[in-house]
Amino acid sequence: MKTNIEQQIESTLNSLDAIQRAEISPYFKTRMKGMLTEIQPDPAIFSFRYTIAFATIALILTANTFLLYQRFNQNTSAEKSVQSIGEISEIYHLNSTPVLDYDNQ
Amino acid sequence: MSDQIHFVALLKTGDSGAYDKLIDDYQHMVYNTVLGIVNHLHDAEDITQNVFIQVFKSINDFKGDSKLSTWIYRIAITKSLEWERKKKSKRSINYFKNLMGISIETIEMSAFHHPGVELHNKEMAAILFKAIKQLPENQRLAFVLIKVEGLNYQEVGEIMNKTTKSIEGLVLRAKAQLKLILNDYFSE
Repeated sequence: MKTNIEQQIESTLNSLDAIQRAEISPYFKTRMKGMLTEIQPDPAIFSFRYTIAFATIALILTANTFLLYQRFNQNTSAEKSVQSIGEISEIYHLNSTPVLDYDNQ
Repeated sequence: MSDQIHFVALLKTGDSGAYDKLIDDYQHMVYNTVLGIVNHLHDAEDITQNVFIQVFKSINDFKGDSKLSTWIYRIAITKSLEWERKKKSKRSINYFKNLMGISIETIEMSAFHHPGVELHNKEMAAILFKAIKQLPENQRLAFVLIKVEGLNYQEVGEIMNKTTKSIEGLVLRAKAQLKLILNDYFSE
């Protein structure tokens, strides 16, 4: 009985001795190639994308800087005009005592 | 070796001809390694696909310290073990769902019949594959790479980052363990 079990164990252990390679599906390569081209980054397109991205960022930054500069200039000229109005009113005494001063009446 | 350097350089440039050759040269090697570990024909093909995608994605990380085949074997083993872990955790979740009375489809683990085994050995080989599944991971990998993939101890040592001696030890222990498992099986 024991020898029979031992024999079975031996033949089971040796059952892979003459194993052949399993064949993969013949369509595997075609499928694989399709997948790889999908995920394959084309170097030319890849660098072109980067160029476009950097150019867009640069354009946005330039536009922002230009707008900020313009706004700053507008503020300065407005301040200047406010200042000149003040000077004129001082010269012509336009901001002297109010006509109706109820507190001093 | 200089051929390999040239070939890897082509792969790194994304040369489609080089990828054609890579698939031609390694598809059966990868598929059979994965199949020997996961014991499932359809899943083995999916994992083989993932292995090639991984090779494609990380070819720039390949420094050429080892043979290209060794590096691909390592990826194939890692992907197969990842797949097994995922399947195991899925099975545990399903088990708990069953306990809680949630109805789910159970996936029965049927006997695996390797297509490369001779007809008269099919049943024995199925029993052996079932027994191999019960071995500790390192013993199982060493045994599969030698018995199924037909590699020698040195090659397996390079793949598993171990000395030839320790691979010999792993295979000896695997055989002893398998004898015990099979003894229990045939004594029933």
